[in-house]
Amino acid sequence: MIDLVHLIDLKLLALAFVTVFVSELGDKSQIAAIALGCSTKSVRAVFLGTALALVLASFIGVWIGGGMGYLLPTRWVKAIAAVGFIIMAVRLLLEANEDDEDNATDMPETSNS
Amino acid sequence: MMAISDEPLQSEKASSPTQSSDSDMGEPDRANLDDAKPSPQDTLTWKGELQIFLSTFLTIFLAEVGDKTQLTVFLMSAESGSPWTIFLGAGSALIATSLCGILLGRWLSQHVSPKLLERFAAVLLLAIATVLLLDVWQG
Repeated sequence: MIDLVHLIDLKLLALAFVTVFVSELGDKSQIAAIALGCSTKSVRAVFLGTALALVLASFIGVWIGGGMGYLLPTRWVKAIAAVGFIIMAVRLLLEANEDDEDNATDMPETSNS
Repeated sequence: MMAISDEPLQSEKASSPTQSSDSDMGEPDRANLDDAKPSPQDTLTWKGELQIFLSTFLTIFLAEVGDKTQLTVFLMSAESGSPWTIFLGAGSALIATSLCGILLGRWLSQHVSPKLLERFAAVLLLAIATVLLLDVWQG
């Protein structure tokens, strides 16, 4: 039987958890999770996508860490991500407008928007 | 965590309208909000879910690459000398924050009209895109 307490430094584990948890609260990935979680048809697909993306990103952080900047042009990667978010936002706005046309008679109070 | 990750296997079952009451993901409440038109939950296929998963995964991953969390994780793992412990702690923290965010989003989806919510979500996503583009602009 492997002694887990000696294999894993629990204090260090807690430190890593608290540091990352606090720094991610209200950060853009959590805001994205809120936005996608409230607008999606499949909460579990969004949860799995978000969680796996974040875990993979932190895995890469551990694995290549500082070498990341040399391996990937992070500015371009971020720009691509921004375009992805814009596409999702536009799609949501189009959907909202379609709903507007569908429900124009049901909900007249939104017709001025 | 395990219960949620097992769920994609049951997606075919859950997509049937007659069984939506046994789902714990809040579809019954949402279905009530937009029962005027054919509910999208009822027609969501495995493929559709995969598409949502992939688009979420890719945008969040690309947004997080080179971000401060990743740098924190790297610095901590280099400093402590036990990268797997750091990875375990950071990974579980990230899962916890995304779960919090998604649960908040789901709660909102049950209390706000879908149309208003779509606009709200779109504004949030545009704000994130703006922050990312500012990052790009400033190098």
